Amino acid sequence: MTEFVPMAGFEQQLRLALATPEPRPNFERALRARLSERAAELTPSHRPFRLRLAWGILIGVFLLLTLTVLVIGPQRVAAEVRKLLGYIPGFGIVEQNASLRVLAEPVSQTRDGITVTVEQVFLTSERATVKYSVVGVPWSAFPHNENVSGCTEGAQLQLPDGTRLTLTGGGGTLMELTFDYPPVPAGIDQAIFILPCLQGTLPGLAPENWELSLHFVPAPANLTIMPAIDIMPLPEPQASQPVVASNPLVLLKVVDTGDNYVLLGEFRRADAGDPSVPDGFWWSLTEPVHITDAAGQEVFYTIPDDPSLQLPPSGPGAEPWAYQIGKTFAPPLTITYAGQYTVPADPNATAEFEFDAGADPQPGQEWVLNRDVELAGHTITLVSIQVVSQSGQSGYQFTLETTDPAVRDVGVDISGYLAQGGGGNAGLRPGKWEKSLAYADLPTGKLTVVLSNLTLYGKFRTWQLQWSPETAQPGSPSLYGIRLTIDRYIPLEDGYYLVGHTNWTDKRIAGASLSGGVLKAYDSGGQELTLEPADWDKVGLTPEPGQWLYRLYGKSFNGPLTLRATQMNVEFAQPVGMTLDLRSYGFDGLDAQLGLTWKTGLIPLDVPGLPANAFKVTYVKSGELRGFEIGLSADPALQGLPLTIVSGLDTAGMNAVNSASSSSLDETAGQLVSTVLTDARITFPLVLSASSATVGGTWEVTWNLPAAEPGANP
Amino acid sequence: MTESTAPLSPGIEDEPKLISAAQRDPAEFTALYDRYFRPVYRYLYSRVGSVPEAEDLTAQTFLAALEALPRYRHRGRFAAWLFTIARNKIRDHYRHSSPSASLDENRADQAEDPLTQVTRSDQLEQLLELVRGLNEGEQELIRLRCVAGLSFAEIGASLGRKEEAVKKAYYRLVARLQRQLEVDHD
Repeated sequence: MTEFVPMAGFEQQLRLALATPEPRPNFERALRARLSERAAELTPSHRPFRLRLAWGILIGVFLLLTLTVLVIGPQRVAAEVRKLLGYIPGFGIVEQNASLRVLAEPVSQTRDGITVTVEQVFLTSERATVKYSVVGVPWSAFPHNENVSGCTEGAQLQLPDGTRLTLTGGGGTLMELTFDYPPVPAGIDQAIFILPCLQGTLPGLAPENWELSLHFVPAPANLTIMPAIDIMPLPEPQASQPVVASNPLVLLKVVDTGDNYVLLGEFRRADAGDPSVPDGFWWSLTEPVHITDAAGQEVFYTIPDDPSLQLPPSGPGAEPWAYQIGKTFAPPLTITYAGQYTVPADPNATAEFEFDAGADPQPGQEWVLNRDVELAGHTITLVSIQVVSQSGQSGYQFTLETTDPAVRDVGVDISGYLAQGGGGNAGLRPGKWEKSLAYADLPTGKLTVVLSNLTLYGKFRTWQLQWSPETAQPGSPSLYGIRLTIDRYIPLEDGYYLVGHTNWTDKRIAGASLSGGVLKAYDSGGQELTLEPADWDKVGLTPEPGQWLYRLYGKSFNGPLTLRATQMNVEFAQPVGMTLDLRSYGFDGLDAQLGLTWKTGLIPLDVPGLPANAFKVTYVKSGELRGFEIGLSADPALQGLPLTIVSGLDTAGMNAVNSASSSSLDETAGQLVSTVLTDARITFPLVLSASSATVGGTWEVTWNLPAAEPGANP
Repeated sequence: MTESTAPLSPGIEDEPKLISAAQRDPAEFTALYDRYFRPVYRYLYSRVGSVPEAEDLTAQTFLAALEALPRYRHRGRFAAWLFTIARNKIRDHYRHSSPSASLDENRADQAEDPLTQVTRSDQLEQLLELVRGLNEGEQELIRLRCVAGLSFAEIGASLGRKEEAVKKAYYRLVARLQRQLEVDHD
């Protein structure tokens, strides 16, 4: 197919054609002034009092596992835990006693510098799932013409008797894919993974017809299976009880991955009705889904990276959803779906009129009608009809208009002719839209156009769902179980030395220390006192691991005092890693690419307790060092994640290698940037790791004013 | 699906800082206003074709953005968020009033000063007519790209579509317009 290249300057012509008048300078100035006035009203001293997160948590109570269903209107609370399940990352949810087989060990094959690895296989009596990765595909093997697609053929599993299992589902990226198959019968412990071609590549530009031999064994006893709780509603109310509307927003399962919760549910359209809305309605979201905590603060959520966490729909019209959240929130959570109804007008109402298309209508031929049509009490204008031709089919496009703001869409047909397809763009711009009908043979001559199935904009409606985890604790949920403790105090003439330490309970952490002297002191009235990091040598003490030393100035204040830290440096017991491979993006390491940014898709980082994903990479330079700024989207509690290069550098001929790394956070924007730089030549895959992080939170300890001898313990 | 993309629009590297500053102190919002005022105004004008309506909708859009900014979480798509607000204001506008013309149909109230009216050559008028003949979805794509100047990623985020799909749709559309223009000249 001939590739079309827009004529140079054509887009500029398009912009000129669409040029609009410049805005009036007076208007621009006036609006700026108005915004400044409004901004002054919105500054913190003017904002109405709002319960802060810390107070909200302190006010919180110990909660049992509950499911609270909240609707705008009648309320219904329903909760019952039915059964315990297990979640296997990359595979999905299984019952606790399910028979499970896995791949004995990963299998790799390398051809022409490209490595295919079957990483994981899970077999149950219901399905088989194969996860594999591909590394080393050159950029040149992929198409760069939008009209050309590469390999889309899926892999098969061949059993020893020659039977081939074909795909039933799957997904992933070009480099990591997961495929589902029908179950492998019990007693069969090997199969051949047959990959005809590498996803997305062009024929002949990458090795094809891969075959990898797989061997299956019973799942080991130490296989990671995370608890998943099945949440079911109470039985339906009896007939004598008032009928209560069901909430279409349903929570079905909760998976505890250790670091996060994954909430799994569905939106059941059949339950999205309203007594004031007629049958035949359609409800749709009008804004993104919100998840908020007890204090009304937005809770950061992601869509789980594991496609196996997507539940199948429970029935017609049920739309599954899955949201992954961290564990540092003040329960209960509220999930909010906000949207609007579209409702049918009189379903029996129709309107017809005739128009003559002639004996031989041609593509592009148009009839301007501007004909008003009355339908179910509403007026619609049929502006024009045009013959259209696309992809070998012909049809008619109808341009419609209305000044009635309630009208959303109308069905269009040509009497006596069966359309093979069609389309429309109703709802994109109220008041004007197009409908199209496609035919195998274009209707000609005198035609009767029928308008029917008028739909109208309905009311806005919001559904909400609340959930609390079983083990919610009163007080601030402490990340990693970090606690501050005051060990001793030393009275001074004009204050005190305070010696304390930081401890933690989470085994995934090897150390926790105050970050950058951010410990602050407040008296009982909330007044901040002067508190500074002190010099151990001056005091004549030797610090123990995790200990800190601060000097408190003054002695005349109202106790007890509260010492508060809002940031900690934590050392991970195991480093957090990620792998970067920009070969398929055409990265060549030359200076011409400095400043370029690539969107990588979400690369999850396994930061304990805090969801984090890398999503973009920018090639940067600092002095003689070159490297990458990696943009991270993460839980707001993660405020720094310095990454270092573990492998992937070509240091041949170098006596020494200079490297640098840093991490900075735009706190309210919720974006982390981690920068890695080196003067060695970068090769791929580039393996990075972080052994520490800066985390935000609130950690407090109370100190009662002393009445004892110097050097006493508090 | 992993994808590569063109470099981010120049000059927006400091955007996270501007947003952060405005979230801390609403008075700093004017920096974002200065950056996006013209693109938003032009886009809204291309939708309503009337100076008073475009001004009113522009004001509504920025006031709404200022109010909602504390809840905004920056993931590199501020323009998409802002234009989503603008599109919602358009929708509300049409729901409560008669729809106005779009794409620069001449109206008496377009401009007080004739010199501010845009003049076009015959070819550009022809191109404009071709654009007016597109369906609404196609016109919206052209508006967001050529009038508002959004990147494909921002357009995708605003329309709820994947960036690659938006890019393909746009270039196919441009190709079609160019061919139609060439055919008309033949």
